[in-house]
Amino acid sequence: MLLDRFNPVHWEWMVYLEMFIAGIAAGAYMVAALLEWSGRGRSPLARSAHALAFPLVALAGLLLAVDLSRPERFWHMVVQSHTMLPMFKVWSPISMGSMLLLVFGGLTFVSFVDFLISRDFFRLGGWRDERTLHGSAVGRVWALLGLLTAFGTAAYSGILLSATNIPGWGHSTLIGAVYVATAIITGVAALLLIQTIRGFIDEDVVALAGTNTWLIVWWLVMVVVFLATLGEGLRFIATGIASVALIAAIVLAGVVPLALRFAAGARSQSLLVPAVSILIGGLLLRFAIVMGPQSVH
Amino acid sequence: MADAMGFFTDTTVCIGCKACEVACKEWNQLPATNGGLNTLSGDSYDNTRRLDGTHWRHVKFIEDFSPDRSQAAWLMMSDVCKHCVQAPCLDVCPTGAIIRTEFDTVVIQADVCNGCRDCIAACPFDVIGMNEASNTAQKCTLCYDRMQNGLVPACAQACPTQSIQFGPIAELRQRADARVDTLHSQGQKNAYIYGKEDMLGGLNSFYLLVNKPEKYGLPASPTLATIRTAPSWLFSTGSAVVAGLVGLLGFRKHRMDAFAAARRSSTGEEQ
Amino acid sequence: MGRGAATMYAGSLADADCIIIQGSNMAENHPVAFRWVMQAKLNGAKVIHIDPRFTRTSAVADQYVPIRAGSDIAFLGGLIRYVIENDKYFRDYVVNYTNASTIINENFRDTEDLDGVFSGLTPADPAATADPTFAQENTYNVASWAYQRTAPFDAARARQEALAAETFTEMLQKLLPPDEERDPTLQDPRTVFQIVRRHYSRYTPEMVERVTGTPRDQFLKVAETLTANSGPDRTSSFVYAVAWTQHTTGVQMIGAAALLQLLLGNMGRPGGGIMALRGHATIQGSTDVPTLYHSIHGYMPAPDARAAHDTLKDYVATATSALGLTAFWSNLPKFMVSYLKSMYGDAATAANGFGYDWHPKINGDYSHMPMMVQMADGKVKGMFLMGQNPATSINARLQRKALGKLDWLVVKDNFEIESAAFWYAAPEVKSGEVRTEDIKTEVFLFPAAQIAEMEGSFTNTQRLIQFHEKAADPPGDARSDVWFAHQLALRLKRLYADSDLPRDQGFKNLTWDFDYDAGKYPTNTRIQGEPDVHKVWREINGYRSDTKDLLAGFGALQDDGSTTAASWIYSGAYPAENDFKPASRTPDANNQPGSNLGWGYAWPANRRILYNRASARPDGQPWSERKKWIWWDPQGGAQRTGAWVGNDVPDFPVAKRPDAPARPGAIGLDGKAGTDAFIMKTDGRGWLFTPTGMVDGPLPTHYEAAESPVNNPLYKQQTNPLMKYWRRDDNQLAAVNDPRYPYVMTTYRLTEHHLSGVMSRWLPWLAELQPELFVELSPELAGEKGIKNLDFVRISTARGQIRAKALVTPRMRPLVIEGRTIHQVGMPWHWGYMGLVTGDIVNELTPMVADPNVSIHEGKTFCCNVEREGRA
Repeated sequence: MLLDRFNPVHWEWMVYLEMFIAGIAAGAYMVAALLEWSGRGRSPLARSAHALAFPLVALAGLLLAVDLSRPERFWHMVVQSHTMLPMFKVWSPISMGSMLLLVFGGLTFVSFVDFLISRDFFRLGGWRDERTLHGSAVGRVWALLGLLTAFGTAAYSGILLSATNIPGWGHSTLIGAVYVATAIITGVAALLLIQTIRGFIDEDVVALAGTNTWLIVWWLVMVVVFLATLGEGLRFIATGIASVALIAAIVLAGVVPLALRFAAGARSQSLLVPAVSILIGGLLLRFAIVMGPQSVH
Repeated sequence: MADAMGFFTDTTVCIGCKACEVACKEWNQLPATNGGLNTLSGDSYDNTRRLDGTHWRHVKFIEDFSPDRSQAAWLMMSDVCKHCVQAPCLDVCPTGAIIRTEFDTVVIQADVCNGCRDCIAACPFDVIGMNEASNTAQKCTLCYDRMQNGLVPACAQACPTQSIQFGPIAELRQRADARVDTLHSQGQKNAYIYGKEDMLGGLNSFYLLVNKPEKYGLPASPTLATIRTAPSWLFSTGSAVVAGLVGLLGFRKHRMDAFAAARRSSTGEEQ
Repeated sequence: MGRGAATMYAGSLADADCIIIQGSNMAENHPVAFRWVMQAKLNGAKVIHIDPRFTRTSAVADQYVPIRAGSDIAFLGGLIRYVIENDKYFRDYVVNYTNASTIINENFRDTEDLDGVFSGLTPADPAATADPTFAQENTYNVASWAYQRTAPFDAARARQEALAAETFTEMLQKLLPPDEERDPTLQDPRTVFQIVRRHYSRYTPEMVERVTGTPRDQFLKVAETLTANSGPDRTSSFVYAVAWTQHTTGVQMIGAAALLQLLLGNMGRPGGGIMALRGHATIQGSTDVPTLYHSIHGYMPAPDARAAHDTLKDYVATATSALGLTAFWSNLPKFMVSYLKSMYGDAATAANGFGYDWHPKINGDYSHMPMMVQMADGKVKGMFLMGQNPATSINARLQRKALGKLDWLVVKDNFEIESAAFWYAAPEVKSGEVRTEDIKTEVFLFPAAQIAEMEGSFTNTQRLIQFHEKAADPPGDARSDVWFAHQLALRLKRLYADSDLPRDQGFKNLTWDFDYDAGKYPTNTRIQGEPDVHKVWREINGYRSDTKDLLAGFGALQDDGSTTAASWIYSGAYPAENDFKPASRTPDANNQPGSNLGWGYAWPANRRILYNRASARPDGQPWSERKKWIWWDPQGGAQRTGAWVGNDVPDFPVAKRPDAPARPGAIGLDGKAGTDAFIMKTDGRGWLFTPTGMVDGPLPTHYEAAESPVNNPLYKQQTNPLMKYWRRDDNQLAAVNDPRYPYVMTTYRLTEHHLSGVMSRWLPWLAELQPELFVELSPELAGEKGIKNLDFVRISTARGQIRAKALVTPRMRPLVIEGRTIHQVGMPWHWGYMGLVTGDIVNELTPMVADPNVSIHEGKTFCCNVEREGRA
C-alpha cells in the first residue's frame, strides 16, 4: 500500500459525526427490535427508540448529503442520473450504505409515525390508539427488517473505510465490526440517557443497563483486536490528536462505565454519568479512526 | 468491445521534458497551479508535485546517487492514471459516474459524479483528486474524446521520444516484453514491466521500470480495495451476532433479575 | 570547414554508432531533435554526455562524464592525441580528404615553441586605435601560418594584375597562387599531421585529468568508445550547442571537434559529423539571410571600409582570395553581382559596379556587445528591438544603462518585456539608485504576431527550410515582423524619395517591390499592408533579370548582371512557380533512407549531409555497405556517362569522375580533383590546420576562461591572447584564483523555459513547471557553506549580485583540478522582473568578454561566490 499519499479525502467532522449519529440510531433500533421480539414492542423503552431513530437517521442523511462536494446530486447514489434506473452496486460500500440508509430511514420513519400515533398526536384511518404497528404481528416483521438494516447502517460506514487504500483504514477488515459494537453501546447509552432524564427507569431500563456492561466488554475486545491486527497501519490511527482521542475513547466508553458498574452500590447508581461517558467515548472513537489516517503526511 | 487500448510508458527513454503534462493541460483546459504562480518544491525538477483533480499527467524525478557518485542515476517517469482492468475507483463509485469505456479505459463522467470522494480513497496509486472548478473528482480520461474521434491521446502525441506509446494493449505488451528482452541483453538486468496481468487484472497504462516500485513512489502490490468488503461484512456480522447473543441472553437474565428484585421488594413491603 | 551550419541533419544521428554530446544539454534544450539520439540508442548506439552537470541528457546516456566548464579543448585535445598515438585515425580518409599531408611554411611556430602562443602575435592597444569598438589586446599576423607553396608568389603584383583584368574570371585566375607542397607519407616534420601531433603531445590522459577534472579512466573509456565506433564500418557524431560557442575559445572548441572528426573520418558520412544545435526556430535563417553586421547574404563578408574593399573588383579580389579561389567560393563574383542586382535592380549596372558604392560598409565591431558599450557611452540614438531582450543580457546592468541613454527605443514583442519596462521596473530603479525621471528614452511598444498568425518559412539547425501557413489573424494591433519591416521600408522610401544627398542614393535606389500585385491581396484577413512573402522568396531564390523567370539554382547565377538573387545559398528552393520546395511535405517511406529529400528544402541545393563525397572512397565506391551514402555510378546520369548517385544530393559536381585530375591554373572546382571532397575549402581538403579564417590560431589550444580559479596548467599564456574584453569600471574581471570568487559558475537552460523567459514565464502552464530561479550546488559545497535545500542564497561576481533559492543536488559534484578541489555551481538564466513569475536576472553576473572570431560572449564559465542569506 502507498503510505505517502497527497490527495486528501476530506472526510471530516460531518462524516464522523454522521457515523456517530447513525450509529446511535442503529443501536437504538436494534434494542427496539430486541424488545419487539420479546413481546415488548410497546414498552416505554421501545417507544423511546422509535422516537429517537428516525430524526437521527434523517440528520445523518442530511450530513452526508451536505458533505458531498456536489450536494445537489445526492440522488445520483440512488438513481442513475442518465437513465433514472435504480443505482445499486453491492460491492460499493457507499452504494450499499445509501440504499441501507434509504430503507432504514423508511422503516424508522414508519416507526416514528407509529410512536406519534401511540401518543395520540394523530390517527390515520385504522392506525390509531392502541392499534399500532409495533406490538402487532407486522411489527415483528418490521422489527426484523429494522434489525437487519440497522445492522447494515451501523456496519457499512466502517466497511467503507476498510474498502479503501488509505493506510490505517485499508490495513484492516475489522472497522465495520468495531463500528457495529460502537453503534450498539452508544445506541444503548442514548436510550438509557433519555429514559433517565425522563425518569422512566423501569425493569427494561435496568436490564438494558446491566446488559450494556457485557456489550462494553465485547466492544473493548473488538477495539483491542482491531488495533492489534493493524500491523504497519497502526501508526496511522494512533497518531497525534487521534491517539489521544483513541485513549480517551477507550477510557470513557470502556473503562469508566465498567468501573462505575463494578464499584460499590452499582445498582443504586445514576445511569446518567456512564451513559454520557459512553456517548462521548463513542464519538471520540469515530473521530480517532476517521481523522487519524488523514492527519499523517 | 473494441480492442482494449492504453499506454505503455518506457521510462528508459523519458527525458523528463514534461511535454505530456503541458499537452494534457492544454487539451483538457486544466488550470495551472495558482494560475501559474507556483513555488519551487525543492524536490529535483518536480514542481507540480502530484497527480490530482487538475493535474492528470505528472513527471516524477528521482535522483539516485551514492555519495561517491559511483551510483549515478536520475529516474524519470510520467505518472498517470493506471486505467486498471480491475479498477478500485470504479468498484467503489456509488453513482456509477466511473465507467469502463469501449476501449477498456476508466473514465469519470463529470456530469454524474457527486463528489463523495470514495474513489480518491480507493485508488491505490493516489491519482484522483478533486477539481475545484467542478467540485467533482477528476483524473486522466485517456483522452476518451480524442479516441472517439480516431485521435491519439494528447500526451502520447506530444512525447518527443515515444516514451509514452499508445495503442492496442495486446500489441503494447508484446512490444514491452521485447524491449525488456533487449535491455536485459544489453546488460540492464533491472528492467521489468510494472502492471502485468497479475496486478489488478493488468494496468492498461503500464510501465517499464528499472528500479523497485517504491523507488518511483509506486505501491509494490496494489490491491483492489473492495476485496476487503466481503470479509468486512463477515466480521461485522460476527460482531453483531456476538453482540446480539450477549445482548439477548444478557437482557433476559437482567430482566429476570430485575423482576426478581422488584418482587422481593414489593413482597418485602407487603409483609 | 567552410559553411556556417551543421554538417548533418538531426535524423542522421539515428544512423550513428556513437554519439558524443558535449557543450550541449540536448535532451533538455532540443527535446524533439533528441528523438533521433534515442532512436540511435534503441538501435544499439552508445551515447556519451560530457557536462559539468548531470542533466536530463546524462540520465539517458550510456556514460556521463563530468568536466570543468570551459576546459573542453583540453579534453578534445586529449582525444586527438589518443587517436594519433594509438594509430586510431582513419588513414585513407586522412591522407586523401584532409590537409594532413600539406606542408606549412618554415616560419611557423607552435604553442609548444612559444609557451602558449603562435608565431605572428602582435600586441595591439585598444585605446590606441581609432576604432572605439576594438577590444583586443593582441592580433595575429597569419602570414607565418600559410601553406608552403611549390614556388614563390608575389601577392601584391598578382593583385595589381588582377585588378586590371577585364572579367572577374580572368581576375581570379591572376590571383591564383602556386600549389601547396605535400608529403603524402605524413613523415615530414612540417606536415600538418606532424605539427598536430606535436601540438597535442602533452595532452595526455593525466594532463586531461589535471585540467578538466575528468577522472583518467572515464576519459579513456570515452576515447575507446569513440575510436571503436569510427572507421569504414562505423561512424560517430559530435553534438554541440552554446556550451561550446559561449566561450572566449568557443570557435576553437568547435574546431577541435572538427579536427578530431576529420582524423576519425566521420565527416560527410551517415551518422557522422558535427551536429551543431542552433537554438531558435529560425536562427539558422537569421544568419543565412543575415541580421549579422559582418555578413551579407549567403555568408559573404560584409563590405568593410577597413579592408581592401574599395571597389567591387577590390572586394571580389580580396574576399574570394580569402575564401578560396579553387573552392566553390570562386563563384563569389556571381553571388555578389546577383545580390547587388537584388538590392538595386535596374539601377545596378556594370558601369557603376552594380551599385557597390551605394552599399553600406562596416568600419568597426558592431556586434551586440560593443554596440551596447557604445550605447552606454551615449553614441547610439535609437534602436529597434525585435525579439531580443538586452535588459536581461550579458552584464545586464551595463546593457540597461545603455538602453537608458537612447533617445528612442522601439520594442516589438509578445509581452511587455524587461527591455520595454526597464525605465520603471528594473532593479536599480526599484531600489532608487536610478530615477525614472532621469531616463530620457522614449519607449514604443509594438505587439507582435505569433507563429500561426502569419505565413513564412523557418530555417532550422539542419539547414532545412520549411514554409508554414497562416491559421488566424493576430488580435488588435499585433503585427508580424515582416509586416513591420515592409511598412517601415515603405515609409522610409517615401521620406528619402526627394533627397539629393550622396549618402541617401543607395536607399533611394533600393528596390522594394513586395506588395501584392493588384487584385491579389488575400480577402480572408482584416490585416492590411502585409507583403507578399512569395515575392520575397522569389527575390531570395533568384530570377533572370530581364524575363523574371525563376532560376533553377545557384549554378545558374552570372557575374554580368543577367541574374538577380538575394541569397545564393537558398537559390534552388523556388525553381518554378508551382514548385515552392519549402512547402513540400513528402517524407521517405518508413523513413528510409532518412534524408527525406522531398520534405522542405535544405540549402545548399537540398544537400542533407555536407561533404558527402567523403562518404565514398577515393575510387568512388562506398567505404562500406553499412555506411554507404553516395557513390559513383559509371552508367549514372541522364547521359549515362557517369554520375554520383545514392541517398542524398551530392555535395559535389554531379558528373565529376572520382579519378578526375585537377586542371592546373583553373579557378573553382575545375582546379580541384575528383577526390577533393571539401568543396568550400580552397584546397578541397578538410582542414586539420587552419592557415586562414580563424583569427586566434591555426590549431585549438587550451586556454583558461577570462575568469578562472586556476593558472593554465599547460602554458604560461593564461587566456586567449585575442579575446575581446571591454575594459570598463562596470565590466570588471576577477583575477586568477580570486579568493572573493572561488567557485566556477556555469549558466544554462531548462526545457520548461526559453531564453530570458519572455515567451515562457508569461504562460501559466510553463510558469508552474519551473516557477522560481534557483542555483544548483553539490551537497559537499552546501555542507561547507551551511546551505540547506530551498534556502535563499546570494550569488556574487565582480559584476554584481543576485539572490535565488538553493537546489542542493548530487548531480553537481566537486572536481579536483591541479590537485585542488574546485566547486562548480549552475544557474538557469530564464528569469527577469516582468512576467507571471519573476526572479533575479542571472546575466547581472556575467562579464562582457567574447570570442575574437564571432564575438560570442563567454556566458558558460566565470567565477562567483555563494553565501546563505542572513549570514554576516
